[in-house]
Amino acid sequence: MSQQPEVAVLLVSHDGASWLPAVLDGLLAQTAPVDSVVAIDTGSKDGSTELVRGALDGRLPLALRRLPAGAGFPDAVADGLVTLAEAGRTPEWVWLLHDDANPAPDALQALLDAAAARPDADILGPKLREWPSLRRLLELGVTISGTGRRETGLERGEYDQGQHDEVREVLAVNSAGMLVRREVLEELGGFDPALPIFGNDLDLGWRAAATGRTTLVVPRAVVFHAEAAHRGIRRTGLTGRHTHFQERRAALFTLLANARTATLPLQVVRLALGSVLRMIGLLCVRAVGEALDEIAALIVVLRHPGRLRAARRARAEAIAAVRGADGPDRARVRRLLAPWWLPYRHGLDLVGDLVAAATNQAADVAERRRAAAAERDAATAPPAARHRDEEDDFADTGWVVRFFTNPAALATTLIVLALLIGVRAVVGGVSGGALSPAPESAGDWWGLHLEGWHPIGFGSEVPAPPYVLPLAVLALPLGPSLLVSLLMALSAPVALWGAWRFLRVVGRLVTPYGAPRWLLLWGSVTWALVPLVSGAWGGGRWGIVVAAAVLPWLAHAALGFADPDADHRWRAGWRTGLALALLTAVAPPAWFVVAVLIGVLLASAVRLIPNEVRERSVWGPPVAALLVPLVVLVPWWLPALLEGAASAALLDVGRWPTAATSGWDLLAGRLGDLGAPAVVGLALPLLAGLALVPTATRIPVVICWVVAAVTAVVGIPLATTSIELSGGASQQPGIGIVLLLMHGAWLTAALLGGLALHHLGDQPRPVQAGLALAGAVGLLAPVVGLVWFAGWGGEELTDDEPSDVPVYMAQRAEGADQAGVLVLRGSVADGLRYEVHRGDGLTVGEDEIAALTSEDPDVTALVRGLATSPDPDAVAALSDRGILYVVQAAPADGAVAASLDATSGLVQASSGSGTRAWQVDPEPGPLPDDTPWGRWLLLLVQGAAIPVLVVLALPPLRRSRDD
Amino acid sequence: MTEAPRPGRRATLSRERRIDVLVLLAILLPAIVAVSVAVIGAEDDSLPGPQPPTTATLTSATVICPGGTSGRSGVRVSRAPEVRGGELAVATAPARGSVTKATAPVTVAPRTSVVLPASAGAVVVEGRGDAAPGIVAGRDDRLAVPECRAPSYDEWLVGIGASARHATTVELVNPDDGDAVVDLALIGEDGPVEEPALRGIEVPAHGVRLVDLAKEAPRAEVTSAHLTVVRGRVTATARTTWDPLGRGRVTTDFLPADPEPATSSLLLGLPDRPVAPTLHLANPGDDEVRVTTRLVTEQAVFTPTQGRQVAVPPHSTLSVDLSKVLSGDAAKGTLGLLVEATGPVASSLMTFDRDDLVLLAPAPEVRDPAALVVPTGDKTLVLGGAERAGVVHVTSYDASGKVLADDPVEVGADRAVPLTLPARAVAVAVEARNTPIRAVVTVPASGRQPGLATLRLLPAELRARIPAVAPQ
Repeated sequence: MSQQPEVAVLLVSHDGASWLPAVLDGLLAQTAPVDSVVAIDTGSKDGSTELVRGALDGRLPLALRRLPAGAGFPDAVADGLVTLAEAGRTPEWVWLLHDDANPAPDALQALLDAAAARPDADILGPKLREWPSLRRLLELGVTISGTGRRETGLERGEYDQGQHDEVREVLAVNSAGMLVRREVLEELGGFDPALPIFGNDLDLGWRAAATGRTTLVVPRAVVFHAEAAHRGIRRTGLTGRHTHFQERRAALFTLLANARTATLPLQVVRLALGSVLRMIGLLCVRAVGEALDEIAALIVVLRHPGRLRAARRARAEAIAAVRGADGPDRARVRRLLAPWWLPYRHGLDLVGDLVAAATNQAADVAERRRAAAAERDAATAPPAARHRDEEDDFADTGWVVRFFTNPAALATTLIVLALLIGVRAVVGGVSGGALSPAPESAGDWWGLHLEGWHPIGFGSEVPAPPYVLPLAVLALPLGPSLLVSLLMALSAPVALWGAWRFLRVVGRLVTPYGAPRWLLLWGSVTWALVPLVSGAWGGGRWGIVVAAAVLPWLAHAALGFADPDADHRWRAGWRTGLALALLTAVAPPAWFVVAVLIGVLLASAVRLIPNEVRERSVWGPPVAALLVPLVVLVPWWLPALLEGAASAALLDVGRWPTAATSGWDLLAGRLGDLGAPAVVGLALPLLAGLALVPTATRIPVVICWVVAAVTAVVGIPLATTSIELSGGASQQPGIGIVLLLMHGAWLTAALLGGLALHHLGDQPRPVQAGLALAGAVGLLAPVVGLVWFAGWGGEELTDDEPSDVPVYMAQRAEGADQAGVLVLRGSVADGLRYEVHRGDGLTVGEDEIAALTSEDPDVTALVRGLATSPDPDAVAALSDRGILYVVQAAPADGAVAASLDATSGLVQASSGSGTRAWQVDPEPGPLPDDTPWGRWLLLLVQGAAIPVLVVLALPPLRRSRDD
Repeated sequence: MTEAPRPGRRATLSRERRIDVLVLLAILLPAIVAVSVAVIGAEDDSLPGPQPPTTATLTSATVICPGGTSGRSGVRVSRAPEVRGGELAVATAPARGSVTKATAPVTVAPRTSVVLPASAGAVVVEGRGDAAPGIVAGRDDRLAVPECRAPSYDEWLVGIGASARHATTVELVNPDDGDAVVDLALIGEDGPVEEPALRGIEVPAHGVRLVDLAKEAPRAEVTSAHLTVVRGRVTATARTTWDPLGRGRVTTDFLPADPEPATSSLLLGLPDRPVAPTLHLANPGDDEVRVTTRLVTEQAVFTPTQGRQVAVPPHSTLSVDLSKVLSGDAAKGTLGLLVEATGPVASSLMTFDRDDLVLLAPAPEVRDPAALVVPTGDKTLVLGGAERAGVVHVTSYDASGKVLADDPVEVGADRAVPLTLPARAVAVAVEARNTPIRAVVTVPASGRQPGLATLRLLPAELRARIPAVAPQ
């Protein structure tokens, strides 16, 4: 063996009795000779020192030091160096070991070999592997990102397969197993005592790089590290209970202490903003403690600028001492620091994780139930699902191959394409039927949502409909017109997707194999077609179209109520609640219908499984789901109740009146006089009836029928009443949701019954024929529906007729709220109707307010007075109410016109043929615009409730880094 | 404690019961759905339909008489039955004058009548307050009597001429302080006719404007005019002159306006032996309209064998020669024409009685007591258009307000009744019970220039109509 350099081991321990025996064995088993050992203990109370003494005394030259518990790792190392110096030992190398870092027998040898091969190396680090798993990689050198994140360049839980086994230069290596030239360590001033536990290795590495020293990682040297302090297994007075706080504080300190002076202010701002963002992010994943740690760390670091200044000065002096006028070795540091884009990449990964977790979680309900059942009864192993996940089946092939070899995916794509062709009418803005034109900008929607008094008609305090807030949020990036088009265009594909996911879980709940893909495809396509074939799409009843897209996701979330785990059930409750709030926003009667459904299902559950239901985590989530919309939508329903517009909670959204739906239409899935031929819609109830025949799936099919029957019964009062609207029209309450729920239940029943088709060969011949016939009917119905929709679905969706208001008046009205145009229609003989055109006319979100605002008798009397006899006070009253023009739509009744002509203060204005127009003189002043504090209070409740509920509903993303 | 559990039996029992429950539910639940669907049944939306106006006391009324045919013509003002009467403001224009000027007010008590002095030109009579309801006026002219009526806003003049032979002049009278503007939209045999000169005809405040179509917009064909008042108030009166260009007598009559196209119109007051009767039909709609002309006699309404259906193309005027229809024996005793159409049409009849031009237009329906100022001389009231059997009280007054005759006349659906009025009568009150009616007074003239004048009974303005107003 060649001449070995002298190596002293510094073993730092603190309450490490759990790991020390193995560590000491590892130390003793080293193939390379160790010249001396300095064991420094920082106030252990578990006999660590005795363990060390017992293992090493007499076998290696040992110096044992005891430091108080308050001493940090840097203090311990410094003490160790002093001890060496006092003992007259001047080893070339110092090998640092933690009490939880167990070196492989050849670790030191490998490090020394590398040092011999690279004489320029001053600090060398081993490959750290997880202890006790021993195979997973922890670190192979580390660096720090711009946001202070410790970057290892490894995937989480990556296994060591030799994939990183080359010696390379790094910014820093972990102090566990670090081999460092004693002189260099002394020259750098050791570890910074300001970083007692975490991050001092990074800081040392950064300082070393700045002074031009080379740090290498030597993967052939392996040290197993328990990371006891980081994982919170070992708590000392220094780590406290808040390891996250200590880590962040260390990271921020390291960044600010070592950053270039020129970029320091920028760095401070960036870290402050970054910390706030991270805090929000942590709050979003319900990690409140860490969020507080995050912000506390920032405050602690910034509160002591003196410490930072001192640290920076010390670093500058050290660099000056080594490099003189050359200054720090910037090129080396820049090369070794993490690239600038890394934090953004992590952000992107996080979003991906979030989406994946949010969409995948409830899919596991079936599996979790089965796993729980298997746990209870270990003898029956759960059979594998027919398709646990698409990815598993084609794990090794690219997505293109996977796509083109998957008939379900191909068919889905084709159908989505067909649906998109069917909705071609939405290109370039869409309106017609119950759908008004979209407003000019998202700001209009925000205004509508926030204000307590709307300049609509003669002014209204009826609150904005509940869907205005989500529309306003979504319109921020998209713009209202494009948003409405996209809502109409994408609802069907989203409904298809949601139905697929819901039905897949339902299938797996019912049979361990799950439903076959072709059946899922049939089910989801049929569901996507329900709102289209019903005529909701073509009639502009966009609330029902969107509700059809939301409903399967809600149902999917609600399946979580059956989860064996209480946490999952609660999360399902919040999720269902939020989905129900959205559903209620676009189809307000949905809340009542779902409330009755949940009531009936809970009551049945009490009857069937009384013991389980008594538990709060069982009945609580469904009840919570019902309460969530009440809280989230409080700025809508409470003022509506107070303003006498409570009927808004029973009406579908959009422009009224719409044609009433009969019982037969409900059965056939058609709305009013819209929709495809009834035969198409009748297929579902027919198939659902047939689905009651197979005994194997009868229980779930009967549950579906319970849903359908309860919904139908709730539909009776909804369908048979009528609600008076302003202006004498009446409107049937919204039963779109009744239609959707009934057909959804039938669809699910038919799909479950369809599982019986699977064993067709085993059935007697007549049964086979019957099943085949049912299958054919089921197949034909969506095909006919799709063809109908692609060809004729959008015929009703024609743009509105041009307005009676002359263009110049409309332009003036757009400019100011008070430049309203009073439009009179009709004649003395048939009755006069008046309405006010303000802004850009009635747009999406304003129709409901206008229709639900009760008639102001003063205004009606004013208009009647204007129409019958000239009244000198009428003009002032008009001006006060923000009316600049009066327009009599063609054909204008001359008797009314003559009365207006004779009214002083009304000046003739130009207008088109057949239309009469007058301008009000004097021009109206600005309208009052004060939103009462009560409105702000309600908005505050809403604003606070939504993020809290979203956080509660989010999946547990905060996987600890140990996983 | 006393009852020992019997698990075996209970288990069997519950098992049977569970199966039963499932089957029961499988039958019951679809039944519930079916019943619910049946209970919902058909639902109707009630959309707000036309809402009839309410009425209130009339506080302001205007009646306008156009200028008469002769310089000696005078306006007589009277009252509908059962109104209180009072002082009326009067403005008159000299014969062919272009401005009306206020003159001394007159007071007209119920059942009396007053002749306005110097009223050969256009006359505006206005009543306020109690004096407003039931103002009636008329001229005592021969052969051609104009209608005195309130301003109107939208009406049809069917069969107007704009040539030397057949010339129509429209007289527009504006009673108000502000300008009025009138549009005349012509439709001819081949469709709408653009005549910029007839668009935006301005009538100055208190002005009288004569629009001579032969001068303003000469045209050989017969047309119809849709008259709309674009601004202010105007009473329009069309006067048509027939000039056979040296081959006969030049004769004039007033063309009554058709207030709105209708699917059924009754033209009453046909001469005994009409010469060259021509029915003018105007179809303002977008679809072709098929028109049947039926004859109304004292006994019945019937379709003559010679009569055939005619088709009026959309947006055009059609002239139909009724000579054959009205010349046979079957046509004897015809009092009126019933024009029935598959769509709304406006109509008028042009004919000659002993070389005198006679123009008839649909008689308006009268539901309330009404009155008519009539010329002196022989005359006949032709009553028709009753919807059911009823009695009409016709009271004739002389110039002093004395009742000359008070005749109850029985009317019925699908027939017309002529009633001879006293020659001295200057005002006639008509009160129909149980049925609305339509009526025309025919005033034959004999002597050197024989002929016939007709005058329609117009509904009296008794109450103000207040529209039903509601937000949309």
